Amino acid sequence: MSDTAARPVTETFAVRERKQSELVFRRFLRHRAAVTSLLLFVLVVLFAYVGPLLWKYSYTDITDDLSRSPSLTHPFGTDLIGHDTMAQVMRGTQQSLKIALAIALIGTVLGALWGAIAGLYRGRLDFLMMRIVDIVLTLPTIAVAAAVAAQGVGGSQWWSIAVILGALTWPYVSRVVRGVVLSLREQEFIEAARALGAGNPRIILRHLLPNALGAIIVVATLTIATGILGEAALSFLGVGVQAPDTSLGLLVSINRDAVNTRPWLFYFPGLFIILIALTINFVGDGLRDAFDPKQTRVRQ
Amino acid sequence: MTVLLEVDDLTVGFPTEDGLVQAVRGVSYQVSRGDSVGIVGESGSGKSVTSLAVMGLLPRNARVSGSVRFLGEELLGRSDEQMSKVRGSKIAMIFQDPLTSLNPVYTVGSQIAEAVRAHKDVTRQQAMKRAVDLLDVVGIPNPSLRVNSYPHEMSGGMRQRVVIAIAMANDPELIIADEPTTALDVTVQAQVLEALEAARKETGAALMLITHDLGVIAGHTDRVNVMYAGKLVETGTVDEIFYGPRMPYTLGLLGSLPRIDESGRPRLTPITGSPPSLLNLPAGCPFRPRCPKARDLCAEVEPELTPTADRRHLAACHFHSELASATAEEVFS
Amino acid sequence: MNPIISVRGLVKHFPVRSRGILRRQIGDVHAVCDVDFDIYPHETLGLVGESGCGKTTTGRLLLNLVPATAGTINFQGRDIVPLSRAQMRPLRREMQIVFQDPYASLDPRMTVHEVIAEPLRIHGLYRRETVRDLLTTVGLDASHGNRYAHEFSGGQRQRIGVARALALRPKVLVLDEPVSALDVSIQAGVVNLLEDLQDELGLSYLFISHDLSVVRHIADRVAVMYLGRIVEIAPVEELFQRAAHPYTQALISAIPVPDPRKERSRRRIILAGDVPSPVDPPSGCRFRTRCPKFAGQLSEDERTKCAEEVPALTDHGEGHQTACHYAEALALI
Repeated sequence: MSDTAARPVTETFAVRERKQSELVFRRFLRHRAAVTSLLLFVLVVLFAYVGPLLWKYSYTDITDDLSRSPSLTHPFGTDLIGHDTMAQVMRGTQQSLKIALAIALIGTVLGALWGAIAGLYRGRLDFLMMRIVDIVLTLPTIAVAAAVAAQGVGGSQWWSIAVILGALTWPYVSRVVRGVVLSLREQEFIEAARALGAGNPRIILRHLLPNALGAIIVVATLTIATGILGEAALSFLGVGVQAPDTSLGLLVSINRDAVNTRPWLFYFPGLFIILIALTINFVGDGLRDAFDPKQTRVRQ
Repeated sequence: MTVLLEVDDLTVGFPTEDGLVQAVRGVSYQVSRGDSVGIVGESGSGKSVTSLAVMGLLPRNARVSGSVRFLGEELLGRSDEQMSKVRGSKIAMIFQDPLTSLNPVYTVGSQIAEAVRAHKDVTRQQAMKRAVDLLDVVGIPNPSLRVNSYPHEMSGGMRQRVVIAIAMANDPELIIADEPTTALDVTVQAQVLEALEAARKETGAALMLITHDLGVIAGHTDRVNVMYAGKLVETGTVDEIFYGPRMPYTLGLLGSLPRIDESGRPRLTPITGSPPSLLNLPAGCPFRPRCPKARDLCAEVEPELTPTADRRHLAACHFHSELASATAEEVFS
Repeated sequence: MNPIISVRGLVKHFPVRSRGILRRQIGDVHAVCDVDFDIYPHETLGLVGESGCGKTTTGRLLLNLVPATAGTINFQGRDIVPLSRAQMRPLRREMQIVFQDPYASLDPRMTVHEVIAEPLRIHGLYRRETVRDLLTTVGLDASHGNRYAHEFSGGQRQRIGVARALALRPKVLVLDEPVSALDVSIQAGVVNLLEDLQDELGLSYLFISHDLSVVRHIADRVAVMYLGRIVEIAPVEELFQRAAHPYTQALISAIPVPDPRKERSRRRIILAGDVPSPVDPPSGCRFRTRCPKFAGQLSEDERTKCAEEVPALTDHGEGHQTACHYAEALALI
């Protein structure tokens, strides 16, 4: 072998380049609202999942304190039969978050695959798939979900709500992913993979989806916010989570008559819904800006 | 000879999160009336930033120091408005992408005519007639039809020639062409370079030609400035640079070029490694890590441009005298 | 010796569709038209031409990455044009491609090890050691495997692209402008690497490039394309010393030589106008609209022949074929 081929080329890098993840992280940190929101959201998650371990009451406990306003013993007060509202909000947040995450997961996986396949194959298949997306998008989500849930599919388990709402939110994800894939498929590395003999499944799973990951993470985040609100709406309508279990939506629904007499029962769970939806939206905004390469470049 | 452009100790830095990128580090050169000066270097050498600094077109966050004088007047620190009076009248610019200098909503004829009327008190008809003549000079076929075309209706090569025609209409003292043919095919490049020569002949303007293509430099310039890592590393007449380079980088660059005029297959002599990062440049000569001739001194002291055999042939190498009549193969393999 | 690849009558038309929902087909881009060539074992065939001449499409067609409209591509005694993607898969081990853009052709989400391992995994040949060996073969450090492509310079990335193409031990490599995106000092190293690999592994190359200097350096034979057709094909020395097609002559004369004295005395053939649209190519000889011979030397009868009769590639001896009715050898360098 001749000298050039054999000698390792130890070149110093012309300009220090950062990993994309590092760049994204830096840009995200610069988005103050997003960082604050992320912190708040983490606190909410800790409250919901670690809180019950530390708090003296469980959401099923019935105390002797009836209809108390917030105090040191019951920071969020109690309801008519003596449930500690803070314990209920903890459980409610847990359930709502769980459902919202499941909605986001189902919607994102389905939507990402759907969008990637449509974008990669193009042509008639793409046309057909995207018309289906259009149709699903025109459905009034909550009305359809309520109608389906009212049939008692899945026996009103928490996951049945997630499946129903997930099945209605994926079109948003698929539109975004298809757009990204349409531009990715023209890149040379996709053609290179083809030249190596890679089939479509490999191209989708190994190349297209990992490269669309930024966009997918962003829409997934926003889907969580939609999920929280969707669950709340369904539970409010009485077709979501059923007692004795609880969720934020259900708490608001049960206590809506108490809004004037015992406002703490209504406002605390309501506050948590708003808090989660808002913080996640801000985090999503921050992520979108961080992944967008058209943002102010960190390096030249 | 009158000195048109005088660049003195020009330094340009761009602040980034990692620190200051030293794009240009103390560059000095002159362009006299009628000169044709080439600036050659690879990507990241600072050749384009230098010309942008001269024309006052750097982004706002750039840190510029030194001095750029045109006919004795300082250009650095002028407002945009003051600069635009100089740009386009005394100094004409030609960029790699001609679309940036053409207005998409006017016909090329009216854009040339406008430039003509800015300098001469003539009627619209006369200006339009002059536009047709100018298009003919830059070699555009059917100029009387083409004056009515819009920029998007023309090919890249034709647009570039329209830009040259506008430059001529302004009757400039200096034409700065920054990679004017890089995006073009060779036969179109030949057309554009021919148009550029025609423009020089007609206006008598000096030319500053910035390119990475040593072939274009060889055919169209009298003096050559070689840039590396933000500095001038060698300057001399075109013959001195091509036939007797005194900086190892220049020698290596010439040795790594495949030649269309050489038969057989002489092995190319590449320069190992790549250009240094312009952030936190290490002490000493920036070419040292890639230079087979490097010694201890090179790691400590950055060489200044010093005269070689000829007073006006300068090289930034401590050992430039050793390079007299050396070949790239001897040095690099 | 038998050719390893024989291409006969290769045609590729891309449909041009109208805008709107109907998207009716309103024409065809004649990207590649009736192209014939052979590649022999251990040979480099250079394919040159300007942008839009169909050279890149020809490379893609050769690998069946885009389906041919007509023609045959005979590889190892078998026509690959009608093969499906699945049927092509085993043949991918024999034919590979290196792309022009070392940035876009490597998946940014993969480590270098994964990039090079991908072909091996697809064909069930993956071994960690193989990847490490490939890295060393192309002159990179085997320990660099767990880095991402963007941590490397352009030249290093192109070496990674070469390693990936070599992973399956192919017999034929299509090199699509492999060094055009690189700085000259880096380019030479990759050219040398490609030459060494060819000697060592007995590869055949289709070297696609617009840069005639590199082609002269690396190719054994050269085919020149214009507007979808091969206009001249000849052994490299023959072509550069006795170019007979007016287009080849213009192309060679337009290449700037990095030698000021030669450059000053060279005769340049400047072509008029632009390349016609491949949607509606000229009848007869496609070059006639820009041909200096057609415009300046031919009689009326001779011109009629150019306009009516497509010139076929005819052999002038020494394997030198020219598609011009009035071909005449010319020395230009």
